[in-house]
Amino acid sequence: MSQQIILSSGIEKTYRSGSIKTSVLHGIDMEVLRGECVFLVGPSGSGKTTLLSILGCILSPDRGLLRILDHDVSTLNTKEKARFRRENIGFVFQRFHLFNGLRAWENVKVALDLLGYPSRTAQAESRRLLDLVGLSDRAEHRSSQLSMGQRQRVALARALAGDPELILADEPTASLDAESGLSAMKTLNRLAKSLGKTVVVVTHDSRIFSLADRILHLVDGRINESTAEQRALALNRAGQTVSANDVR
Amino acid sequence: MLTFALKILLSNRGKLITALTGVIFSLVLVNVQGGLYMGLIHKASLLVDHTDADIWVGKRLVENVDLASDIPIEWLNRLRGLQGVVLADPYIVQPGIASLPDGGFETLWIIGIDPSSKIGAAWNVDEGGETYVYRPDSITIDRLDARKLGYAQIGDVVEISGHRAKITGFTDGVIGFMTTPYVFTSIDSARQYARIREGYCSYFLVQAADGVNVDQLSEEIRHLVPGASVYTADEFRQISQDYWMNRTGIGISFGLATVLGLLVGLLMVAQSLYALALDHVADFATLKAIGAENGQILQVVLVQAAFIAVIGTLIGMGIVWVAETYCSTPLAPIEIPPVLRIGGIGLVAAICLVASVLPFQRLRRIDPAIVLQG
Repeated sequence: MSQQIILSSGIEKTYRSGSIKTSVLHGIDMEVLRGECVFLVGPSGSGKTTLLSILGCILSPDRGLLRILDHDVSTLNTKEKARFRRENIGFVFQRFHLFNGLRAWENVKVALDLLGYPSRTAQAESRRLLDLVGLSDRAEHRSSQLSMGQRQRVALARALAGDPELILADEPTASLDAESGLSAMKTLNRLAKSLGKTVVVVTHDSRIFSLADRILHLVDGRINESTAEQRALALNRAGQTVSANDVR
Repeated sequence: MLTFALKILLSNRGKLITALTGVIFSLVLVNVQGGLYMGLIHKASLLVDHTDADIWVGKRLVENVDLASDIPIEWLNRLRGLQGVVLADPYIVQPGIASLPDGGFETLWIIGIDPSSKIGAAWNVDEGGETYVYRPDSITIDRLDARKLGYAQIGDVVEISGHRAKITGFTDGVIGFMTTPYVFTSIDSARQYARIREGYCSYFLVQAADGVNVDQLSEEIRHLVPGASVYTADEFRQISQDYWMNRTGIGISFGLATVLGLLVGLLMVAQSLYALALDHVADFATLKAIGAENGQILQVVLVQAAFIAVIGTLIGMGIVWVAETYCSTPLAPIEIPPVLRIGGIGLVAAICLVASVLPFQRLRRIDPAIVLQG
């Protein structure tokens, strides 16, 4: 089994609106190994979300090679990409995007329904996943009855539905207060490590940088690993609490 | 996915109710309009439907059972000698005029019956039995038509074409297409009331022996009486109904109203499902982001459409039953044959299926990337 979960080479992406072209990614080369937790950081407009969308097979790159789990996903059509996402990638969204009106376990079950799980099996599996994220006592609650932190954990349980190899998280702490954000991120990190998942997180939140194995800094559509965030990560691991700004 | 589809639908009560109203409206309209049409068009062949004759012989080119011309009774002897004929009797269907106590007039439709066989006699007789067939100058009219004859009662005497006519019975709900009162009487009295010459009548009603091919017998009668039109009961029923269909265009008006109702229902369901889809663009984008294919999105929309169709059909058929049971009258009967009921349900299912195309076209174009844009 390959240790390489993501391999990208020369990925470029340009948005077009009429005659206006906005080039967002300029030759992204990156590699993510099995079990790694990689953070994508960078200023607004640097292309983080676009890159995450491409890694999640939601957008297609204009140029370049992208291999995920040994599949050349840059050549997949829309239907094939949907299937690849369903079977291999779990998503955690900034605004959770839970389905209002559905109970917590039903939100998780939707992802299993898409995978074709029999209803009873999907229900049992949904409850097991909620238990994994510490929400078994909230399984019958609707999303509107949950706190923001609990909603994010339901979203995490949904991302784990179907046992995907890769978890992609888009600003997972942005809608949460500091404590809930750190707690949710720790839960994600703990589960990813224990279940052997590979995680790519887009974030601005320097308070959670210590949870990353590696930080990729995206500036003007290019990746730079040798940055203040990397130094902050090293210092944090050494026991000092600093932010990226402190080491700039 | 079933839960997802239904909970989204149930969470928007307003749109659900609008869509259900569309389905119910269409279903009730198809059944009630169709039922009224069937009831009305059956009235055009009422006498044929309730007469136990296999073959009707009338004046050449007769187009409707109610609009007969005189034929000579002497032709009857040719029929009676024919092998396979067990009964052939004269029958009168002609208009007459009643003089009312207040000085007014009322046109009546005189039905004359041969007392020997009583073929073509009144049905749904509510009161008075068969007295009118045997007793001279006796008539039976429908209870609903009594009002037109000055609120006549049993035993009252009215004047028809200058002749005395005593009401000896009532029928219940025997109202023809033209709503002119049917007056059932003996053939001799009918000849007086309708001013028909001696030796003439309107039709010969023929009963065939068991096992005789009615079509073949009709053909033989055509050769015997070339000046007459000879129809089997089924043929004459259709000819009588077609006459009013073609002359009045009621089929077109009922059909048009039904089609418009279906279109309104279709628009209501489509608009509701479309608005529902627009309200939940983010949900559907999330579904796509986590791997739903367009086929699975279509399943969601179809489940919603099917739910609306099933619930709408159940409520709609309940309303149709109420209309049929409590609103159907002899003047405006609602007759809903099984094929119309099943057809109505099929149309509603088709409406919901077609209505789901519009929201699906919108949903299949949703870009899942929107859920990653904060």
